[in-house]
Amino acid sequence: MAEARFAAVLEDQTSGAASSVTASMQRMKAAITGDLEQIKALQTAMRNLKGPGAQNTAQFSQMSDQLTALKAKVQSNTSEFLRLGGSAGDLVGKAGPAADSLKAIMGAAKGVGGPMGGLFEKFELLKNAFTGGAGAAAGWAAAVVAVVVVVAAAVTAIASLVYQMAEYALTVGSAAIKTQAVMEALTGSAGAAAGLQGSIARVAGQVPIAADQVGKLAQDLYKAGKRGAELEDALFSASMAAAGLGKNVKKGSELAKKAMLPLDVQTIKFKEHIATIFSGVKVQPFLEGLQDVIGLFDDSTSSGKALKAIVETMLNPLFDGASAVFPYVKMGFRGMVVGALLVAIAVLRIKNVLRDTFGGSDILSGIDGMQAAFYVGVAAAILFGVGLAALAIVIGILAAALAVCAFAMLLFMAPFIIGAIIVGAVFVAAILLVIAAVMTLIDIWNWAGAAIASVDMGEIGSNMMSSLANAISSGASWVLDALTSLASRMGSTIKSALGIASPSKLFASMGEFTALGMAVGIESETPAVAGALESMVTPPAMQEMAVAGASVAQGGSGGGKVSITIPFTYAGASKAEESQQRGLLAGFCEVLEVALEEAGIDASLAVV
Amino acid sequence: MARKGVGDTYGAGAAEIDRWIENIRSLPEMVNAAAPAVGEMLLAEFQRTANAGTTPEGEPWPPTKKGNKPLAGAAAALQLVVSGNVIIIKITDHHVFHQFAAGVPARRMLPSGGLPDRLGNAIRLGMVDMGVEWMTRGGSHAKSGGAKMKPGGG
Repeated sequence: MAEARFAAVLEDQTSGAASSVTASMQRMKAAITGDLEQIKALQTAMRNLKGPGAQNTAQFSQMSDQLTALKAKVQSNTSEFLRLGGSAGDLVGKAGPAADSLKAIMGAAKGVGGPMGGLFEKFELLKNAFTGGAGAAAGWAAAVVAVVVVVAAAVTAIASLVYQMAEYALTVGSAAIKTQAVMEALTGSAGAAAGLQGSIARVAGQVPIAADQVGKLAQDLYKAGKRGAELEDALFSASMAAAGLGKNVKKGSELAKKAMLPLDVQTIKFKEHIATIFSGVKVQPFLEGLQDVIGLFDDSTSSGKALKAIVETMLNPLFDGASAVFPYVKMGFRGMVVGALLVAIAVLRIKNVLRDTFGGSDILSGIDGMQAAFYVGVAAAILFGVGLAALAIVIGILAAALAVCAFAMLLFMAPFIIGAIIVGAVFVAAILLVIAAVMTLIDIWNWAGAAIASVDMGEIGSNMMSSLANAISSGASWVLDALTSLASRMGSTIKSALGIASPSKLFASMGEFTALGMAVGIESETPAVAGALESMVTPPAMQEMAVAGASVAQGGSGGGKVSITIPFTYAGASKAEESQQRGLLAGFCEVLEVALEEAGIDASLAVV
Repeated sequence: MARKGVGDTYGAGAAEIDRWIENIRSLPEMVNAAAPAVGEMLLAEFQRTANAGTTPEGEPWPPTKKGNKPLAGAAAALQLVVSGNVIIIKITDHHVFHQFAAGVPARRMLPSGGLPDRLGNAIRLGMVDMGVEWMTRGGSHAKSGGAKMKPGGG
């Protein structure tokens, strides 16, 4: 059976481009997934910071939600350029609201309390304070503090000297009273004791040993029955012997005088002279009064019990308060450091995500890593200073409280200067401590304020989102290029159309030509093509039809119509093949009629 | 109400990307899916030109000697066979002689050379649309995309 065929092959040319696009999308998905994991980790870290209290947890949750919303916007924009109808320009435009969202987050953080909010608020206050002319006030404060320090130092030095002298007087006086008591016990009367002490003093001034040692020798001699001049001579000899000079040294002799010359001996004697000077101070009344006062502190007395109650009432709350303050200081310090670190983590993670997602370093130009690191460093320094200052203030408060207690004690010891000195010293120490803390704070604020004055959180956030928009724009452009290439390859799917030219020899060449065309156009269907070629039926030759018993009848003359009847027999074939062959023969007849007609022969062919 | 986490928000987006990746990965299969629709379009177009008594390129067939319209039933003689990505449109019987002007005036029903530009362009545009639909909605939705191919002109 004769056939003419037109064949077309839809050839896939998208494989390479499709692989490229899928690879890029997988890379993008991996980057976004990594981004997601980092945000989850950040969110978890925020929720774990429950120590400072429920307020902070709520703040962090709020910020987490805002970050999630921001991320959703970025994700939405990212998905946008995956759609063929989108464009990079649209995405850049849509990144603007996301930047506004980040600014809103910064604003919200400034508005809330707690570590994070306090951090932003502190930065804002610092910025305002040091750009608003508060430096002059700080200078005045520093000058006042300097004057106070000088005066306080002078007062402290004088007070210390007075205290030392008073203490020495008390020590000497107390020793004299003790010695007087011992002598009276030994001699049996105050008069005899005074005589014995006079002998000791005279001998001590002539011998190179200490008066205390002379006094012990005198007591031994007195117990041995020596009295008066005899005791004094024996004491002189015994003292010289104790000094290693022997018993035979005479009073007033050159040897005795030389024995008093060594420096160590003169030093001992100088101290004894000074003590003698102070021994004139009548400390006994003071000590008696002190005894009365000390008796007040005896917890076996009603006054001691009352003072004990006062002290406990005043100090216990203070120490309880201090023990409660330290955890707050510690927690606040830790919370503020964590807050500063969270800022750094957020900046670095966004930076890393951008780098991992879109590669290169250009897109990171808007995020100043050094500025961020500097910012965090300043924050940490401020927090450290604040923590130290808080600690110093707490200690100062405790010292002041102790001073108050001492002052309370002073109410019972008003006549005694020693109490005032103690109170003054404690007060001065407390004031100096607080002043030092304040000066430290001023120094830190002064340094940090100048550094922070140029930092704008809103600008940092804006730069970050601008970089993100640029990155998305670049990524969108790249993906769109890949998709465009893919689309163009989709349109190139028609490899070629197999046209069938008109052969000059139809029956001889048709099968060959068609087979050639099929070979060109069909790549993967060779078995089917082979089957099709085998099924082709070679057009029957004219001779075969004649053999089949064609009869020609010519009707009329002079160009009359020729009627040709072709008997058709096809033994051994299926009905379908017979019908096919009959149809072919009929077609052939039709073609032959046309050919005869064109040759000037009016012929009628029929298949019977 | 439970808080909505980031993962919940992103889950649908990740699935969407996966679906895109899978669709694009299977894009080379599109030619096989598109071949029947492209074949139907070509068949319909060749039938249209045959009914109009023109070649696929739009050149009118010569009339019979009697001035009648030739090959009145030619459109029905066009047959479509699609195997994989191969599209074959064939004619049989006496139409073959007209196709090749074998003793009769040339009345081509099939293109004699390459595909006419307007048909090639229609297929290309249709394949692009189908490819987009394939990527965005998946192959099962895109199989009908080829039916949208509309050859312009006449």
